[in-house]
Amino acid sequence: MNSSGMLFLAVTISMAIGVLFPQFSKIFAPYILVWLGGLLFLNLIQLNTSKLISAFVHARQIAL
Amino acid sequence: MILPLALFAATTVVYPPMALSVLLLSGISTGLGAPFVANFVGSELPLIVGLIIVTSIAVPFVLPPIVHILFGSHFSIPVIHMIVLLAVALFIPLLAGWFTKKFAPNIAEIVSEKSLYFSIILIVLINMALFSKVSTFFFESSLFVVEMVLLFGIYGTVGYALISFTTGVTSRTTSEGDTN
Repeated sequence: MNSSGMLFLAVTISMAIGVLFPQFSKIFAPYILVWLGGLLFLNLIQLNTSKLISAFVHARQIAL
Repeated sequence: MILPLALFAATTVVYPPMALSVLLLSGISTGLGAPFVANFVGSELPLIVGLIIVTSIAVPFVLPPIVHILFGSHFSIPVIHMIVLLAVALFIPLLAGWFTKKFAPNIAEIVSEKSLYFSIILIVLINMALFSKVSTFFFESSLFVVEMVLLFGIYGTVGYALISFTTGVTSRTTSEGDTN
């Protein structure tokens, strides 16, 4: 299964679990910021800091 | 500011009860899940992170006045809350990533290679947590949920088509013109 299919299934099933089994899913609710921070850590580790600074220096795209 | 106002104007004509929701949704800051999407589709991560920072700081000053002018209602988004959220959910992970790359490059490489699978696990946990909070709404207003899913499909399709038409970039091409 390709990554798009895997992501689609994961999102769909997790939404369904959250809606159908709220008492179980609420266990994870107090730690949303932790999950979110982890998600950003995994994805920002690939970020080149100099390119981030460059994005602000040449801020036309951000402004648009 | 232009896009939220344009979408608000269009929704006012097409489906007025949703106009405020569309304005708020389109005028809010760039989501913290955007870096994952940027990496997933091969977009420009630095630009996305820059957008998150700028829009998160700007939204407390931009969105409430727009809502007040268009609807006459007052609400506020405390700037300090946005700064704390940025610090906790963006800057700390960003610093952690930087330190990991600098002092443990082998770990950084492994994390980077496996980031998709770990990211999907975290997305599953976030989704379960978020949807558990609104679970009753799905049962009490099922028809409304179906309508909103259909509207989301239309919203996404129109946005994708518009961007493809104006920039020539589709899911089969990158912004550099390469074809995937």
